[in-house]
Amino acid sequence: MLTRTGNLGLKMKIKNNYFAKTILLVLCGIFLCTGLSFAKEISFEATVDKNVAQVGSGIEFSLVFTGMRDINVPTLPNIPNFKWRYIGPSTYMSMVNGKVERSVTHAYVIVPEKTGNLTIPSLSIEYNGKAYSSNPIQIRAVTSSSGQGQAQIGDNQAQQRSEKILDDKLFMTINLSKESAYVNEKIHATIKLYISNLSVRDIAFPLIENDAFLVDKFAQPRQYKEALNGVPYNVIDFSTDIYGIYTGQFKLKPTEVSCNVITRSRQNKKRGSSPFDDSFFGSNIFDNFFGQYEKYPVIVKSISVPITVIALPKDGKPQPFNGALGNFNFKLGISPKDVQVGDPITLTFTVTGTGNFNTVNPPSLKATEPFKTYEPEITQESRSKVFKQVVVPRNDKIKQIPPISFSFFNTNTHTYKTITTAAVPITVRPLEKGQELRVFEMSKDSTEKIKRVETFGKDIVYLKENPGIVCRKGALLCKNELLLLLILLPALAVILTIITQARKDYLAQDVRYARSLAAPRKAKHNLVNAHNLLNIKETAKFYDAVFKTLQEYIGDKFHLSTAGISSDVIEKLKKRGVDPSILDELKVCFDTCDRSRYAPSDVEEEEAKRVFKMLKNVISKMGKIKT
Amino acid sequence: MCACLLILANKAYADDKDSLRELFYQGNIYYGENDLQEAIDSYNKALNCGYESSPLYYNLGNAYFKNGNLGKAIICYLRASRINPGDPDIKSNLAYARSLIQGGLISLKKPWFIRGFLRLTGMFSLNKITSISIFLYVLLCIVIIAGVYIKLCKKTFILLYVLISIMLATSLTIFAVKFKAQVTQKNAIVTKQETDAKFEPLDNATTFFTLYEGEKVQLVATNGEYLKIKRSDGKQGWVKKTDIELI
Repeated sequence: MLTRTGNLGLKMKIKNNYFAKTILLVLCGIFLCTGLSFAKEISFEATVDKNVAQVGSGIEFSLVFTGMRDINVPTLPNIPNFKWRYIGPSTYMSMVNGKVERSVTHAYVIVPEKTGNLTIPSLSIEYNGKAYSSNPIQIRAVTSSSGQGQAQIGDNQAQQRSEKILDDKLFMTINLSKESAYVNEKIHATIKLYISNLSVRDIAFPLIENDAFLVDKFAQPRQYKEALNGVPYNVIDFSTDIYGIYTGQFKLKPTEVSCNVITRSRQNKKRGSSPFDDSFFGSNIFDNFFGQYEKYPVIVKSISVPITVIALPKDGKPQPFNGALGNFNFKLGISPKDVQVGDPITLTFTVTGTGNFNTVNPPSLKATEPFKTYEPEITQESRSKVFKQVVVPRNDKIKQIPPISFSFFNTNTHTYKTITTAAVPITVRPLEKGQELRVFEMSKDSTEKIKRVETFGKDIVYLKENPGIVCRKGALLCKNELLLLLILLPALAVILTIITQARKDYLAQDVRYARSLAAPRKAKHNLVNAHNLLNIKETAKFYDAVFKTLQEYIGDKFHLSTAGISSDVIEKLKKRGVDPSILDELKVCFDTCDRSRYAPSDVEEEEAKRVFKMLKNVISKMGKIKT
Repeated sequence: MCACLLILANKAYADDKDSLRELFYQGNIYYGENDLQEAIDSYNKALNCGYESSPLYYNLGNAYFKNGNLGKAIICYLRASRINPGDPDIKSNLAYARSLIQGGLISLKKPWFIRGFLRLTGMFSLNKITSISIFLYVLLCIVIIAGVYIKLCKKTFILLYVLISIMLATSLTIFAVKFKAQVTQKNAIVTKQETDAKFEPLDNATTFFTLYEGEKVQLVATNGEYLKIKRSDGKQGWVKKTDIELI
């Protein structure tokens, strides 16, 4: 069904490089975001299925509207030397590289009337204020041979035969509830469309045209199955009410229903016994039309029905009579019954029953009564009509709502009838001193709002046009293992941050601990420095480094001031219980350092190495002491 | 080598998606021509490509509905709703299809707060609420780390912790409810016009109650050709496997 011509080569290239496609999509997105858009391809063209045809035979003529929406059925002008007939519309939709292209085709049958080279002229339409023209088409019309002429006659006979068969498969009946009715009396009309073994679409509501009758809106049609003479039919049941507006004898014109009969060309060819076989629909005109389907517009008509409309009798007509026809009941409701002068009272007149509710008018209080009256609010349903009328008492002498009458003509008993309500006592209190009479205006607060009752049709919403975001079937984010692993990372980062910061805070608070913790690291660094100096035989600097190392290490380890540390510190360390052997080595180190400062020539390289070894030993041993 | 495999995988992925789209549009054309069976076949073929989309399930649901398969239509609308729960068309069609279930829907009146919460959960798909939860979780971690280093504005940080934590707790609760309803709990729809739920998983067992096409049930256990189901009013019975379909 879908074709991908034209852009196929481009598509293959794009497919070969998925990343290129991705880039293309991104670029498209950027174009869209920046408000740029490619021009919509709108075209209008005319096509025919063949350019050579016999006089009297049909040619399929199509008007193709691409990129246009809501195109009404174009009416062709008089084309010289051709007759034409409209067949029906078809919609074509295709998608190439994610771009949807729609076209609507309106198909016609044109028949050349004389031989020779004929031209279908260019046709013009206007769409969104812009004119579009189709291409002119040349047709060569030739004469038909006698044999073909006979075939044509045979076709016509077959067509008549098929139309007869069609009548059995698609027909309509109309049934009226009564043959004689009064003016404005409700006559229920039931129109049934019978369909058997046919695919029928685009069924319009029936059209009843008659100036002498008013036709109500059709109710939602019902669908059901019904057997007639043993043949099962699908029935579409339309019902409405009609009202005669003039007296006399009439014939209700045939009711018409327009629809399209759908046939499937391939299947029809297989089924030779189908009523829509080649002889009826399958002429060259319809072959391969729309690919698989053929749509044939049909108008189904009912027979005309006689009906008599008579006038209402003048005898016994009550006063007042406002023209109500039917069999009704009438009730009156009053609220509130205790009011002050100038306050509103709502009278609710409820008329229920059967008949023409359009003829039921509101009964009202007599004009002479001391009430101010307002226009009633009306609610009409299929079997009831409610009038809510606000009245305002003008003085406190009013003791009751007087009897109210409602008259109607009963179409069952053919007599007039009047229903009169009883007088309803009410209490009207006088105005208090200082108060002025205020005539109450109708507002939302004073009267109950009467909402319009509307019945809506129910059905499913139509298809989605695009497939939307496509994802792997059953792909759930919460089951993605990689994602579950990655989720742990932020939690780990939080834990590490908290631990690091807590340790930092603790060390900032406990300086002694922080110094003792840092002492080995600093000593290690200083020892490397001293070893380097020893290697390059910078003895003086080496001893300075050894002295500094000892100062910093002992100061940090025992939380002492680094600047004042010399050999005197040994006494302090002794008090802190440091092993005497360590202190002896420490003393040797300090002494050697002092000596090297004041008499550098006395210090030999071998001794320096021994001091370095001793220094390492001292730091190592002191490291094991707990402070 | 890995790059080549990745490119090949991407190509296959793109091809399958194109096939799905092509079949989707084909289905739409068949539907427009009232050839519902062909439309259903096209949509089902599209789903067999290994990918899915909410409009695809929705259109398949419409085709089933028009074809008279109410149960299958409801399944498709529910599947579409799982992917895109906020779509008003899906909601409308699902509600209309459910309204046509013979005998009406059996539902127990729930307290207002449960109804409110269920309405809230109905606004998110499982993937969407997962994404929201992950986003809130990462945001909370970032705010905690920032709070550790930045010593100023302690009150602002505490307010942020509380706010994000409440949002995260709510989204995790919604996630849990949706996960249970969609993954843990197996729900099914009756696809046969009428089926009997029996007391035992036997053909000659006594019928307990009758289920109608389109009714939603919860799967409880399996026994051979029978499945134990629970109706929304809590009644349990055994029905034939072929009479229901998992959502």
